[in-house]
Amino acid sequence: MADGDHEQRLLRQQEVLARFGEYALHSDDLTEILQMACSLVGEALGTDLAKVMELQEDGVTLLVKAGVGWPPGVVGQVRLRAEACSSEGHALHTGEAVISADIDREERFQYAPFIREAGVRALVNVLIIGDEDRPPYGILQVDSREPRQFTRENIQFLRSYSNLLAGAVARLRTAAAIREAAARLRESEERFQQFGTASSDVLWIRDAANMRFEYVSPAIEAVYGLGHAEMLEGDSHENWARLILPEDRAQVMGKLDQVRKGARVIQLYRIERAGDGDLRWIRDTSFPLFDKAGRVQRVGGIGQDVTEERAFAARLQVLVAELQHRSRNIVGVVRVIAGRTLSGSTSLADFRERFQKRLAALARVNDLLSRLEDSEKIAFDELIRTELSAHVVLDGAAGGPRILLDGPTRIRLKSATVQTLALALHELATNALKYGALGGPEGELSIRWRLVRGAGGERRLLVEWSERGLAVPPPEGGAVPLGYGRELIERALPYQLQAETRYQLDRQGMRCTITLPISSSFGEAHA
Amino acid sequence: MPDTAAAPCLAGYRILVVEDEFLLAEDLRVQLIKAGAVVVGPVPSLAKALALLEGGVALDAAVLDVNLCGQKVFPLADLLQGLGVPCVFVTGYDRSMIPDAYAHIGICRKPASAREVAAALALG
Repeated sequence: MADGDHEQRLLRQQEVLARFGEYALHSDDLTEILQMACSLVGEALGTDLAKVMELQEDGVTLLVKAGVGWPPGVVGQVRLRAEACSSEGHALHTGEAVISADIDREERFQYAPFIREAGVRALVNVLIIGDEDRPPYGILQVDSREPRQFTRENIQFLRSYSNLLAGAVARLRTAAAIREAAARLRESEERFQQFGTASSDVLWIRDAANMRFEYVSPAIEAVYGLGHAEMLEGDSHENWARLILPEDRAQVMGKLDQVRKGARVIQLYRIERAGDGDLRWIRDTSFPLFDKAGRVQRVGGIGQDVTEERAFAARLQVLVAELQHRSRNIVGVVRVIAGRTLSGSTSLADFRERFQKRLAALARVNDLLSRLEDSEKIAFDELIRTELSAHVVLDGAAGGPRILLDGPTRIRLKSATVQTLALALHELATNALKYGALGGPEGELSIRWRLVRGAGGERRLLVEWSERGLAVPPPEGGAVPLGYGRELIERALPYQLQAETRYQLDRQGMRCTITLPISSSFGEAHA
Repeated sequence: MPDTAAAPCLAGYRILVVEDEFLLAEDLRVQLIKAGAVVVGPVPSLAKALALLEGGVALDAAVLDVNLCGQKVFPLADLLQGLGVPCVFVTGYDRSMIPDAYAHIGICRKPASAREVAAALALG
């Protein structure tokens, strides 16, 4: 081997190292760098086959990551196992360059089929080391189709070359890891922001040292009436604290102090919302956030406006009270009706019939009452029609007694008066059926009502119930005993409804007038 | 049904009855009379009860419905307590619905009998 040739080879290798080093510094694409490494190494050593195999996570599989001179289907696809019996495994295990000068005569190793199929006769494996504590990146393998003695000089070159390559790989891997971490961080931050922005409750995080807000979700605007950005300016703790009602403030601060000391606290307090000055109830759940040393570094919390929730709960309480009041009253009324019916009955069958009808009337009116919303009232025409419909066919019945209903619609009754009025109307109706105008075809029942002024100028409802053509004429002299029905009309209505009533029965017929107060919100269909 | 077992244990007591529901007021009135009491009222409202008191009526006890057409009877209870007149609530409400300030006043759940009223008043 002439010295001139030797020098030429050295120069060429130096040049390849320099070119590759430059390239590796400037490229950010690992695959490109590896590919370039393969083509330049062939140039330096005068071979036309080379490849870089990347060691996989399992520590034993090698993937052909880049290469020159290989048929399609090898680069990027072929995997082989770096077992102890392979030259690659040996290189990975010892960290040394492993040379097979002629694989046909090699007794130490077995070779992957694709290597033999490509006509490889000689090869050398050089380790591409990993960064710091990491496992090797893989192996640079240079192949020759002729048997070849790789010289010490060749090996030296390959070592330098693979170290350059290892440096480039480490640099790109670190850069990729940083990029990934940054992307994960961005994703995590974005997720947190999305969560905070979407929350209708105020999410907040404060510095435990001075209790200033480090983070507040935008719901602060809706819940506290504070501008989101302005909230975080200046002394944000003070900005927040001044909205709390003075009488609640000391307790709130005391509880927050407990959280700073490591407690979890749920507390309820009132604020005067900035902007509209509305009084709102806030339920705040606060919890300590610890640093690695176990000290409370931050205080986190979730503030929820529970004003509506509390109003709803209070409303429910009112409804339960109303239910108790009503149901107990009804039981009492039923007991009294049973007693009265019993004392006016001639037989158990008579009792049964009358009691059931009275219960049904009570049920009907309670049905009407229970369907009312808060401010709704029952109108008189609705009540009278409901009661009469239970006994006779209204509106257009041919034959039978004439029934005339005449008066304005939508005169709203005081709800507290409705039940007793309904029971009284029921008695009038059943009397009319048994003895009065509804008892025969000749009868005529007319119910007229209108608004009148009371003594104090207040509006009252005047109802005139009159019957002509009684089925059973009253006894001569007109002495009718005071039954339950008349008791309701002549005593209950005045007692309970401040009604004025008159009840008149003679041979011409029956006439009953009732004047009673009405709901003050008369005339407004939806007051 | 009226409490037929009610003995005249309230003999001579002048008892105010405040109850807005006529049938219940009437029932209580009859029962109390049977038990020997002298019934003052019954009256259906706070206003009418206050008018009776202003008129200087003499009372030994009072039976009060809590909810009088939506109006609470408590101001009257306060006044009666001030006058040293023992009271009992006859109401649909259970105890939890009554403010703590009236915890010492007995409660009869509706419908109440004269005997229950007497027991709650610790009379007879």
